[in-house]
Amino acid sequence: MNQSESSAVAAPLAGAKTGEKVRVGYRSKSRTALAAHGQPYVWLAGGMLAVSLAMILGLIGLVLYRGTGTFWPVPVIQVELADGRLHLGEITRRGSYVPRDELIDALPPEARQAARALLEANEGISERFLIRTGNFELSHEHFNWVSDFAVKTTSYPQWALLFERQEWGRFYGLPQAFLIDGRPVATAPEEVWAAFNDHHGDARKRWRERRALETHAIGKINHTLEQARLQVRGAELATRNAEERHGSGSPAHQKALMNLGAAQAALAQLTLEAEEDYARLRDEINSINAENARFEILVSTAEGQTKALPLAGIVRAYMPNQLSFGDKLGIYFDRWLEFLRDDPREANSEGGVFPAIFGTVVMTLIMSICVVPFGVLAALYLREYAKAGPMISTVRIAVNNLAGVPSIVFGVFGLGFFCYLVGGTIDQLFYPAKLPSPTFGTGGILWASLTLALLTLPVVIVATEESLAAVPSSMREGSYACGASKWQTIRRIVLPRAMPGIMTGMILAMARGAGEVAPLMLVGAVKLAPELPVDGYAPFVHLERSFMHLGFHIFDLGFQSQNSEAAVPMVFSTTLLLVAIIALLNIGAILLRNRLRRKFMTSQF
Amino acid sequence: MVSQGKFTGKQRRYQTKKRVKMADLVARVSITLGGIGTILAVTGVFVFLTYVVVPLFAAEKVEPLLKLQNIHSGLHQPGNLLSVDEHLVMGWVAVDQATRLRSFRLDTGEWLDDLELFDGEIPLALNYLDREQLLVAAFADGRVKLGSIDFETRFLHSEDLPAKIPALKPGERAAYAGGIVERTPVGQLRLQKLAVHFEPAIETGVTDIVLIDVSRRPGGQVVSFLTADGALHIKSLASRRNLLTGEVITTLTGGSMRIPHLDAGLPQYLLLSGIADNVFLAWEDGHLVRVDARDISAPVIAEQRRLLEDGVRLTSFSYLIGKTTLVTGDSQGRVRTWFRIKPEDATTVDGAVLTLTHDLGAGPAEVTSLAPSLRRRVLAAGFADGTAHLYHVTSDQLLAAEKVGEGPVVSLVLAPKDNAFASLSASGLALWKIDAPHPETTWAALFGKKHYEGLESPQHVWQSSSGTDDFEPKYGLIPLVFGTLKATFYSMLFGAPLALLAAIYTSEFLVGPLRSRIKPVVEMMASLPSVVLGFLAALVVAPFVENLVPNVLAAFFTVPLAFIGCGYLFQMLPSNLFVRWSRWQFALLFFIALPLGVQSARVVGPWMEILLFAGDIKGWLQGRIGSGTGGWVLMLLPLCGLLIALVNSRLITPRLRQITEKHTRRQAGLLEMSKFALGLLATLACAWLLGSLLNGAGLDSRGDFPLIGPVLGTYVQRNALVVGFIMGFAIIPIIYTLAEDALSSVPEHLRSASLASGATPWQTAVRIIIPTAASGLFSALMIGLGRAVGETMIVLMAAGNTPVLEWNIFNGFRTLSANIAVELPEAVVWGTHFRVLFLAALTLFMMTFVVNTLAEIVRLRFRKRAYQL
Repeated sequence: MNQSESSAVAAPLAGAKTGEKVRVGYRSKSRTALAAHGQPYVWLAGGMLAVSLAMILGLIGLVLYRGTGTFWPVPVIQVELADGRLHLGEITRRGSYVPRDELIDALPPEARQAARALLEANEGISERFLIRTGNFELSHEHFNWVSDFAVKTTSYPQWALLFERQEWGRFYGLPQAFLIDGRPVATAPEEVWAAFNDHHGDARKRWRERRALETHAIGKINHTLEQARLQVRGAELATRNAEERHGSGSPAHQKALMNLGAAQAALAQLTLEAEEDYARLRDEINSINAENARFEILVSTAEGQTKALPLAGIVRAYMPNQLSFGDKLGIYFDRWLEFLRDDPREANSEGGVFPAIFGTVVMTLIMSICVVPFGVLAALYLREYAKAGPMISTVRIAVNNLAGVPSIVFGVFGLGFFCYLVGGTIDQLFYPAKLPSPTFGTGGILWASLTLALLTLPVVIVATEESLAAVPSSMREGSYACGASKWQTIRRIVLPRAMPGIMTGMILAMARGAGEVAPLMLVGAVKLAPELPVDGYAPFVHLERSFMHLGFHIFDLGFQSQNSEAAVPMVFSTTLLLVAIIALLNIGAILLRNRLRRKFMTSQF
Repeated sequence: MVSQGKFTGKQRRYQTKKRVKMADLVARVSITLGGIGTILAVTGVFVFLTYVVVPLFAAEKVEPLLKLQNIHSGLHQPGNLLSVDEHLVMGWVAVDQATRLRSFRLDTGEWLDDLELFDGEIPLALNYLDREQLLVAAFADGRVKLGSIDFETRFLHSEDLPAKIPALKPGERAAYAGGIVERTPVGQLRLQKLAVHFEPAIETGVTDIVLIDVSRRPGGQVVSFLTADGALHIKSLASRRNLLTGEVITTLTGGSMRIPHLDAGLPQYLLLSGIADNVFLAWEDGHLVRVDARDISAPVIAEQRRLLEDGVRLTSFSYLIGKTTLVTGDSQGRVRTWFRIKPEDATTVDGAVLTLTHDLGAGPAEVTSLAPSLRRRVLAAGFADGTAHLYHVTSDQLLAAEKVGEGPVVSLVLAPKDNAFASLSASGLALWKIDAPHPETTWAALFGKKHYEGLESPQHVWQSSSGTDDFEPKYGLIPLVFGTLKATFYSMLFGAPLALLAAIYTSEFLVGPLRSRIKPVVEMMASLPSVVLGFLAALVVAPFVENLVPNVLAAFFTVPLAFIGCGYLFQMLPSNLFVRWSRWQFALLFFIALPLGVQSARVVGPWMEILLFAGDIKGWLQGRIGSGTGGWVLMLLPLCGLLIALVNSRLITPRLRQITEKHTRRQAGLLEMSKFALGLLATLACAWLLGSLLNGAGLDSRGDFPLIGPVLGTYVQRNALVVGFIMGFAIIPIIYTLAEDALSSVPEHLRSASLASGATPWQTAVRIIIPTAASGLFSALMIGLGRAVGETMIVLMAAGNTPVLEWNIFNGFRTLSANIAVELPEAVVWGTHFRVLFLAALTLFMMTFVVNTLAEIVRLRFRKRAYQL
């Protein structure tokens, strides 16, 4: 920039000098000097735009590629290593590195020569790939790195089977037999596979029945008992209060004692009933378990160990090396469906993210319900009612600035004010029976929503104010001239026309809220929350519960997962999902704005 | 609406309906209330944060609780043989030369119990350890007894108790069975009673023990004692139970040595350090001998020194919690603390030197007693005139000074919860309440250097938690503020020029439909959740950069150069082609220049590594190989580039202009091109020359610079380079959008006028548009800066989170925001740590608020000016 500025200064001077010295006609022919176009600098500026754009596209491309690739079934490879070990699994990643000499020396003597030669040919760099070998309960490893110089043979066994299991992660093996009641009924691979397909659906159905019994039926009994226990505890507290306030033996105390007795009796009665229910349910569950235990598939690992897998614990099984494109597509979409609909398994590294999607959506909705009315009220006050002056412009600047205050600060405020101060007070007033375990006095979906509402309030205020300012004053004046009151004008003339702006503000606030994670880490997002904030027990909406959130899920899965290799692909899929939701909200905002704008365009003066 | 006479002569028929009026009123009131309420709620954030933070700085207070005149002691000297329980219900004193313990009620002073300790024997040496509640006594025949003194608690049942006990109301107390019974708020009857348990006596085999101390080491207890003939014994205790008889046999193993300085008599004090690796012997004249007892069988003298000036007597000698810091009180009333540090030039056998670290100032009279807190680095000191002082050692603060009695304070003790202290003097026992929840936090302590135990010098340290009990939390906010600034600096360094140039290009040079399409794409980036960026930074970018450090470094130079070079090449095109292809400028940039830059980085990178960093940049950064020249060249390149450009524009271009005017466009282009190439070479040469010079002068680029510390240093995977790149990326959209807005709101007529006067678009942009929009651009930068300051997720995931104070671009850091996110969920609610984290949040709030307000004011002023143009 320096150079061009000074050159531009220098240009007229130079021209003047030459004009004096040389011919007179020169001036008329004078061209702009090449340097004045500053072409290289323009290119540098343009280049920066290109870099920004390339980064954005690269990022989106990466998320799309890795996020969509997670669920695509890949063939299962069997690798025989020079030292005789066998690995069966999926290749997940490749890389290159410079192996240390000890690695080569560790190879059996006959393989060493070939390995050295291979390394020599590649300038000392070795290719390696990461195989997901699964079978964690047998090998205690989920993944294995394999270097190309250590490979003896590779093959793709036709009958290799991949099991996704409820527990212990994936299993890779070759079918040996199908067992019913421990007796093999089929041993040829195709028969085993056919038998497996015959019985797997039923086993899973029974498994789901059993889980429904465990969660719903038993959960209901536990819930009732817990309520009764809380009643007793509440009655105890009331009795003590009555004793302290009115004295022992006073009428109030007597009455409290009676209540206590009734609550205790009810609890005893419920406990008795619950015992019966428990016994009945336990029998039911036991019979289902017994039925399910009959069906097993016997598989052998690459190294020859055998293992009988109960059918009920297998979520999905397929033969990766025999899949047609259509089959692959089927598995791919089935996995996506599972991802969107199911609970997570295996410390969140498998299964679905449904609770996180649900938590994100519910939290965002509650947040919008809180933020929009207040934001619109504040904007209306600032734009329509307050007298313009230095005071109001100061307030306006302050509100604008709040949009730039770090989100973590709001999180800190939310934790201190909502959770501990307000929540703690609510607990003492309304839930004393549960103390010392907090009800509202800890992070929860309500507090998270309120915190984010505060965070997004400036967005809504600013957007609404701008749209209010955009309504021409001629319309307001026209309305007044027709005899409308101020409120009538606002309600019938101003607000409808400002609606597109308000909606945009709301959707932008939702997009920001859905993507914020830092404050949520403090006010209620958790790693795993099996209980959704909305369920079948009165009062149906449990605003005090902690919840799962897609953004927090990304953080947790990527950074606090034990099996991070397996978690990373899931992180990419979750990222894709989150980015898609936010992009949809943003695009929705733009479309809505355009639509509403068009609708009102004609009616404007 | 008073009706006036109408020209029609009729009264007005229609009146505004009551309902409409009501609705108007209701709307006005509710909107005003709601609006003001909402705005107040938002300011409430600030108010609440302040409300939580304020108690940190509240002055500490002590108030007298009660005085008990009947409690005296015929007291044992030295040592604080006085104790109170944690509920402040009862206490005990040792009487009759510490052969008996008497317990008393703290509310009335009534004596409760009287325990004979040693069956009539009188110990020659005695010591009591407050924290372990351990009593150790040595007798004339060489026996040593270890015993614990507890306030035992048990719950009574209402049966077979005297009638007055079950009648107690919650909170009431009564003496019972040598102890005290209290009805708890839950309704139970709690009996507390003094209990002493002695372990079987240990035969030491030596007689005339005059001083004794005991400490715990990972292997077991260690006892150290001094005999009258000047022999110091250090023994570790091992107990073994005989399986047949059930008898416990304790054996002593260890060594002994003669102590020096015996011509001044025997020492008055013997202290064994926390893990029994040192024994300290102190004489009244201020002489101190430190014995290294790491090898327990062969203790050696590590160090001898005087602690006090001549003529000053040592009158009190004690430990702080953890038993590493020594406290001395002298006859001039000064209280000072000492601990061992390990300087590099130490000549002692264990490499440590005892150093004076805190001078807590002079008291009113001779120090007569010292009482360390059991949980914090708080210290109480009693003086000969009956005054007691309360200090916080690490922050060098005098928390309180009160007259607690008449005559010397012979014994002083802090209650186990630090909520009270008791003192004994001629006027009896005085109990004082201490209200000091956060003694360690002052402005100076939070933002200044402090001398923490074990550090060589006062430093800024943030370390809020550790595994051990006697750990002192270190709340120095400076490393976190520094981390925040470091993250902001590096991300602005990358993001700001990129975003500004991109905005200038979009607004001034981009033509066609691309212009309206690119902006929304960049804007959409703004709503990309930062957790996504953070995750990509840590799991994709960081490993990628780690593998290709030289290539990435090279790319910072080759990519911009590729753009400029392509610009030079492009202007060499003949006019007709130049004009025709100008439409495709951006496409050329994107599909040719950018890949060219990236590709040349891949070529240049390895060469650069070989030439500058001895072929292995990570080894070079650790300082193992190569010389400092490479780093200098890298750092000086931009500077030299600027210098050469300056020389070029001031000296060369004006001369060349005369020549180029005579040449054709193509020749001029060639000339420009060669000028650029020559300039590039000159820059390289200049950087190399300067770098070699600096290196030759003995300055290594990896070294510690004054003021700023190391700039290049050991490579860590999650570092400022990665964070700067990704966070720069995160702030690009916001800066870009605001800057582009500012540029496009420059009135069109200015642009037209400039172009009509014959200026090129480049001249128009640089001399008309940018100066006009300058304040708008500045405000865009400030808002971007505000965003970078508070960004949490990216730094949390990609910055490594070590609170170090160095600018090293290849090292990590810990920011205020990430620190809050990591530590707040685990902090004790309303505790000191919790409130300090709120202070961190408040600091962050203030930082961004100031930056944003500045930006907003500048922006509004700019907008007003732009309208006037």
